[in-house]
Amino acid sequence: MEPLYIIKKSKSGAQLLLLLLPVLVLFGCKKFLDEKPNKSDIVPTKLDDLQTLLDNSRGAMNSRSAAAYSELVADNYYVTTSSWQSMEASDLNRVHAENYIWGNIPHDVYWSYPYLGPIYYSNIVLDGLPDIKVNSDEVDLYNSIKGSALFYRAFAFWQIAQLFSKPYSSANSDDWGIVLRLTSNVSEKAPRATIQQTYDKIISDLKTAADLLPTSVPFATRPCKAAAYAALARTYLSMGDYSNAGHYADLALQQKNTLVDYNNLVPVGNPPIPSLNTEVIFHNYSPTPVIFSTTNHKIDSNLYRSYNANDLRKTIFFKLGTGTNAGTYTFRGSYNGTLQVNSVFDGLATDELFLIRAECFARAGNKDAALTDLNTLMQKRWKNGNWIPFSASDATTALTMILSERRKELVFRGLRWSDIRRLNVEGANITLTRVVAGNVYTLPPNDLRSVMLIPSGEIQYNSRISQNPR
Amino acid sequence: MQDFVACKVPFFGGTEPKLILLKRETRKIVLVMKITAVLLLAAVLQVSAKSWGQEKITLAFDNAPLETVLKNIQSQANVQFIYRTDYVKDKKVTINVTNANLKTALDLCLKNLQLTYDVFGTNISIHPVKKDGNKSVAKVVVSGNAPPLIDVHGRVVNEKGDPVEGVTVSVKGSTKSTTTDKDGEFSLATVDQDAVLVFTHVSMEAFEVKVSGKTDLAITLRTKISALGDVIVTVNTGYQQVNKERFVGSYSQLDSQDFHRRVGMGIIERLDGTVPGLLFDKKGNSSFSPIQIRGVSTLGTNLTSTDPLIVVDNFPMPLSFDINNINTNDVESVTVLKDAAAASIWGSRAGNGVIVITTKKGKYNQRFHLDISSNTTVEDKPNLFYYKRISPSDFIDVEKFLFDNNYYDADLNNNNTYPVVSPVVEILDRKRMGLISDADASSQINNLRDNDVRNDLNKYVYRRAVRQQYYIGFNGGTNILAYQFSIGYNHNLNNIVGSKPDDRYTINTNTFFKPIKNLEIQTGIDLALNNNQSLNFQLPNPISPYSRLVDNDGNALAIPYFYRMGYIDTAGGGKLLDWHYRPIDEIKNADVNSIAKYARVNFAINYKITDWLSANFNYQYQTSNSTTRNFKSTQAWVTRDLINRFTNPFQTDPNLEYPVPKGGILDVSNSVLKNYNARGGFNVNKSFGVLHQLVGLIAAEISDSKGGYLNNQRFYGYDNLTGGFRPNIDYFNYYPRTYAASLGSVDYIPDMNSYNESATNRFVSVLANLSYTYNGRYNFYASGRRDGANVFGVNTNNKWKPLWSMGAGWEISKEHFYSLSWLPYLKLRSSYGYTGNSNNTLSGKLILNYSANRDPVTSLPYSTPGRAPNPDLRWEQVQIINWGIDFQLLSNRVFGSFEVFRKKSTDVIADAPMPPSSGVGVYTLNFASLKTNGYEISINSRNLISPIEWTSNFGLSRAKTVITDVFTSAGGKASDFLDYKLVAVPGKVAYGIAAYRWAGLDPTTGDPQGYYQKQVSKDYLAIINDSIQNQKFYGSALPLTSAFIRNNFSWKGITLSFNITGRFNYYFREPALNIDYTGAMTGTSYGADYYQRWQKAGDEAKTSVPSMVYPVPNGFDGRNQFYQYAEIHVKRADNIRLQDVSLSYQWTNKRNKRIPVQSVKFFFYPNNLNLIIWRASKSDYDPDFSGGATDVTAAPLPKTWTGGVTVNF
Repeated sequence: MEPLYIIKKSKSGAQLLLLLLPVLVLFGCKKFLDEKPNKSDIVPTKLDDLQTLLDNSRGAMNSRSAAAYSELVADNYYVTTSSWQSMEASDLNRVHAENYIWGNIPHDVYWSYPYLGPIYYSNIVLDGLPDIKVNSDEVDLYNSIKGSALFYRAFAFWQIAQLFSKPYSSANSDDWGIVLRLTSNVSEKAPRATIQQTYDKIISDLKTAADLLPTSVPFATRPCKAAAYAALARTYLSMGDYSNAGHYADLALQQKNTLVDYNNLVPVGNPPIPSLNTEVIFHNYSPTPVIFSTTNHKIDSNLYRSYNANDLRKTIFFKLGTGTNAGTYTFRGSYNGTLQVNSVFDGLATDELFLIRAECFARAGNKDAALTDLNTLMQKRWKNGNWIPFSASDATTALTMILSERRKELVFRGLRWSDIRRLNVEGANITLTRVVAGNVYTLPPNDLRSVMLIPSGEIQYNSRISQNPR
Repeated sequence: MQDFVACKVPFFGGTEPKLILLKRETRKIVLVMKITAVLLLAAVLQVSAKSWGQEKITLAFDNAPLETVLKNIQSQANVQFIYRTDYVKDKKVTINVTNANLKTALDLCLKNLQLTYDVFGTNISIHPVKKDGNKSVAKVVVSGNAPPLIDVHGRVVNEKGDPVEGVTVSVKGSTKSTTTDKDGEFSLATVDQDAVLVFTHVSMEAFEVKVSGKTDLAITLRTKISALGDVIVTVNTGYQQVNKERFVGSYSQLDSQDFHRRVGMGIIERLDGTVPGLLFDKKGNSSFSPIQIRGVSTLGTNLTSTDPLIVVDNFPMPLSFDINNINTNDVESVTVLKDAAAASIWGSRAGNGVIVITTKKGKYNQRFHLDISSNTTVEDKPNLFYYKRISPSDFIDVEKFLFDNNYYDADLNNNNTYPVVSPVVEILDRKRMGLISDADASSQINNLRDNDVRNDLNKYVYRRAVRQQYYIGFNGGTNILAYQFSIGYNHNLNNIVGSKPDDRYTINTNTFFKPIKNLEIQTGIDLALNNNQSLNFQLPNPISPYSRLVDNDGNALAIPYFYRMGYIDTAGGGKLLDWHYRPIDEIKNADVNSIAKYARVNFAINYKITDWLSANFNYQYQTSNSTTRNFKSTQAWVTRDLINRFTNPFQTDPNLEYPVPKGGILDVSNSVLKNYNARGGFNVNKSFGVLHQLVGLIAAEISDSKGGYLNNQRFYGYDNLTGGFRPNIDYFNYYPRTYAASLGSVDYIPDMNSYNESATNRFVSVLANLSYTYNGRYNFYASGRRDGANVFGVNTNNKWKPLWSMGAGWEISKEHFYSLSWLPYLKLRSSYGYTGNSNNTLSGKLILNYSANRDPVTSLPYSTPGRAPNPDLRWEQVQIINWGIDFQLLSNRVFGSFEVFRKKSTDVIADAPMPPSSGVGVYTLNFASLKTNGYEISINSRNLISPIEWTSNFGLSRAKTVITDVFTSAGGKASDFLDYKLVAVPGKVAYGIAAYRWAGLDPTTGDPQGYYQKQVSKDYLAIINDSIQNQKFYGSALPLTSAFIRNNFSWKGITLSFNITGRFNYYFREPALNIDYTGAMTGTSYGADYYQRWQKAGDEAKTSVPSMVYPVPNGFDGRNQFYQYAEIHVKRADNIRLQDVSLSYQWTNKRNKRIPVQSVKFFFYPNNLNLIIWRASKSDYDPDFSGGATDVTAAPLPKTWTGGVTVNF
């Protein structure tokens, strides 16, 4: 009977082992299931993790501005009827053609870009910071990350406010501003703030950022203290608050005031101005629609003619067309250089700051200081040997001069549209005109159409938002 | 003299192992016999004590069929009768007893019928009263010329060597029979010495043996799993083989014969039109899930798979593995599990149903079989003329008209990217610039008018595809070993002229081995090697319809591609390589080779602890490794293009002149997939007395896919002769692209080197099921399963999902009150339970996804946020209720089933659209609920038996999935239902199709008109955004009802069968003309409806094709979309078609034993015939292959013709 005994013995052994198996699996699997599905997935636990999010330059932080939309509806360029018609005929490009004539098709991407990019990323960082244990030697890094996130978000808010809400003025301050998105919790719905709240938030965040940000950064894709001051100057200027605008332009210029001498640029390369050059404080750009392709867009001829023959910008910024484009000019003077060839640069640079400070001096009646700033800049733009400093009899004349040079210096910098709205609030009476196939389209000052339609996706899925009136 | 029948041991060479094994076996057998004898004795005593004399049988029949009476006794006395039908046929009984015991009842019953009975436990065999009841010693009786008669004695054992009691041993062709006693012994007197003895038993497989003069026989019978019934059908759930009679779930099974009826196609494709409840979608331009089992249970966004779970043998095949690595010839059967009771045991991956593929296995105690088969499939060329187009000449006139209206000016003036313009536009441009004369231009253009690129494609690009399959397989088994081995070779030539073949080699082997009693070890190895050299040819788009690919001398011609022909003709001034694109040369110069290896190794061990409890462990490892080598010489356009684009003509240093080196480009990619599964558990199969039977299992399993990767590498300047390449390519610096400057914003040399480790998917499951059968007619089933997956960033509790099911079956026809003789078998069953859908990629916490590369400007690492986290995310679950009736009619000539089901999917995961200001475009959440109702009818019949055998299989099924609720209330515009896709709008059928209402053409302008707010309107944008309520919703774009009927006719080895399929209750959209001329830019030439366009007032009475205008006036926004998706293009799609025909001839070797061949079969099988027999609406298009309004290239699958031969040895 021995074999039977053996069978019996092994049976109970196997039985025990196998009975235990499900139990073992139940308890042993916790670790087994803790394996993360993808190696590159990280739950942020360190400051460095958050920094990598802010360093996503090309995917979000420096590349998702709405500025190209503001150029699309502004007056730096025009397109021919045939270009317009071929865009109008294409499902993909009709939205550009319609916005060119301030039609009623909302341009979805430029509303989405900032919210999906810098604003969302910044909110993730700001929401994530409290959960991270910061060592004593990481305080600077912590401050820099927090300041950067506040800066990126405020910078993007400002750009949206220029397009989707009315310009800032005391009369408009209770009107609808933009959606001030301050959380990364996507299921939270947010209404539109008022214009006053919008600008208040932008300013307070930029001020906090200015306190937190370091004075220098390794790459202009990261914001520094000067960038926060410059952004404040730009914001105050758009609000018509010239004393604050001048103050912050001055603070920024104290940090950085270098200029590129255009005499040193070779006007044959395409593009001729290098990216990340010494003027750039903060690098940022906005992807452009096909309407800005070199074959479609043509520089407004009055604008082109307004440049002096000795003004180097005339040859550096613009390129003469060939073939059927002969006699017209295209823009090639982007501060993006070779990095983003076809994009609108709307970053912060010292040339803009000199112009802001000059304008603010002039508006404050300080003619000489205004002209000094203007000449500091213009000397770098004029052909060597032909330079004659600008002079004016009074501050008002100086202001006109400065505004004219601002228009010429900041072509395709995403600022013209904001300027038009600001100046029209002050009564400048700038009317925009387009001609397509013999039809004339005009946009009178302070027209309802100078506030863009909010995309239907936002209206449809955000029950707490209302469309801009038409 | 002992003659071991069906018990040869051919597999072991040598003598030693065999002897040892046999010795051990013998010892065991003796031991087992002793134990068994004791147990049997006890059992018999117990049964006798219980059964005899105690039962109270009441019978009241007047001239009733004996069979009915016996059934009645059977139901009252818990006994089983065993008899041959012809013994009881036509015998009538009149009996009237009350509370009689069994013996009395039986004696009365059989009294005057010349029948008697023997009792073996609870089995009672009924046989004629023996005229010659005496046992006689072996003697030969010679009478006249008749063959000599002998007395036969023998012993019957099962595969374990245990004696089998109660086996009916009958002489074929006579009424002589007996049964074996408890020692398995029997004897039969005066048997013809050439007689054939038939052994039948309730629980053993029938067996025949020729006496051939032997008087002493040893017979081994194999146990069957079921007890009664003509054919033992088991359902393979992947975990268990369940007896069909006991199964309460819903399934369809293609057995070997049905599966191999279709040849020359993949495993899954063979289910199309043969399994009720399974629907295949073949539409072009469709994002429907291609296979649906009983409707839809998930929304089919990228988050959860819409594919059914495919189980091969024991374990799921991960989606990343190619199911075609399993040789179709190795497949034994395919089972589709449809309801909760069937599929729930697969848990959280079974939400879309389960398809269980079982490969061929060796069987114990089976003689050596060898199969050789070969077949060849020829596939027609694609039908390029399926879509009716306007003639190339008329297209040229369209281009001339557009050119005159400056349509192409933007492209012609584009000196930046130099976009492609057609040859005619190029000629017109040269004429306008005064480079050629009007006459030259006209003659050049007129030369093009007679060309049709489709003719060139037919002649120079496409050929008939040919696919060949060769297969050798053998199997067999002894009582301790069963084996199966096969080798397959496939040789495929695709439909591109000059393309090299794809070859596949497969080896499949598996072995079952019982080294000691109660222990079974199974090993399997499945290997596949694919050597693919074929190439896919994609015709460039745009291509002008009058293009020529080859000139009159047979030289390849260039077509405009990527850049304007006028530009590349002159660009570079000699610095550049030829920049022309010649499609024919591209095919010729292709040098692609991809080698994929697949291995599946499995191992199983099964130990019988007691006769009712066994423990088992299964393990499987799968891996696939593929390497693709794609060499693009400088002949290839891609190589020349890259070199040219980066060429710097101002540099004289050759390294700087050609940043992309002048030379070939070699792309190598290597990918590895790995997956392992392990499972351990117990199986229970226990009977308590004759009334109760428990079958169940408890198991735990884990699966892991980890360690796979995809590695891509590119070598620039590769020299195919020497193997040298240029290292140190500068991927980081921007190079000015001197030629064709901006083709997007990236100006780096493309860096194609990458390495990605594949995602790790892990599952842990514990599962159990139990089925209880009472009295052979009541079945109860319950299963439970808990699944865990490595979902990232959620609490362990949320990683687990419990799912369960239960069901019951009732075989009414076994009840004593049941007396419907025309319906001899009737069973009701019902089940209820849950399956699920899981997703490992979703996360409950915010995760950052680190980029593999660094930022090119700052060289800093960067990351991107993953999906917006949703910690509340629950797994999808599908509740299924199923009711079924199984029946057999007309002496079992007709059998079938009818089922009704309801499915409810809840917590269905989808990306909900979000307002952009939230920070994300979509948010993953438990989004919707779906409800599916339907039924299935399946009827199989043997209409004629001889001389022509005619059988039919009929299946009809309906499944309608409706969206019941959705997270966001938005949606429900008419324009939501334009494409063939699943649209989640509450209350609507899942695959809805809608259209804009049509109000005819504007008589003055020929503009299409619709309705907006009940008024005739041309405000197209308003109509497009209008609610679906105001426009027209048709119904489903997928058939709600589908049916097939397959008829088989056999006569003397010739079998003809054909399958007719029908699909009903659905709609499709016919392609419609692009009425805004964008087609002229993208190169799609116009459909023939162009000729019908409105051209002058009055045309609106004859046509519904709108006018075409250029330049586009204001207010034309949405005009094209409105027209293409207007109701005039939606048609009812219902149709009935002849799907395939199969013709075969089988020669069976009946007489000649010297030829080792058992049978030879020749077959011919045309498929994809798509012969529409009936259709609900007239159309030029096949509704099942419709590409919708815009995809004009969608066409029916080309017909295939397969012929082949199978030889069995």
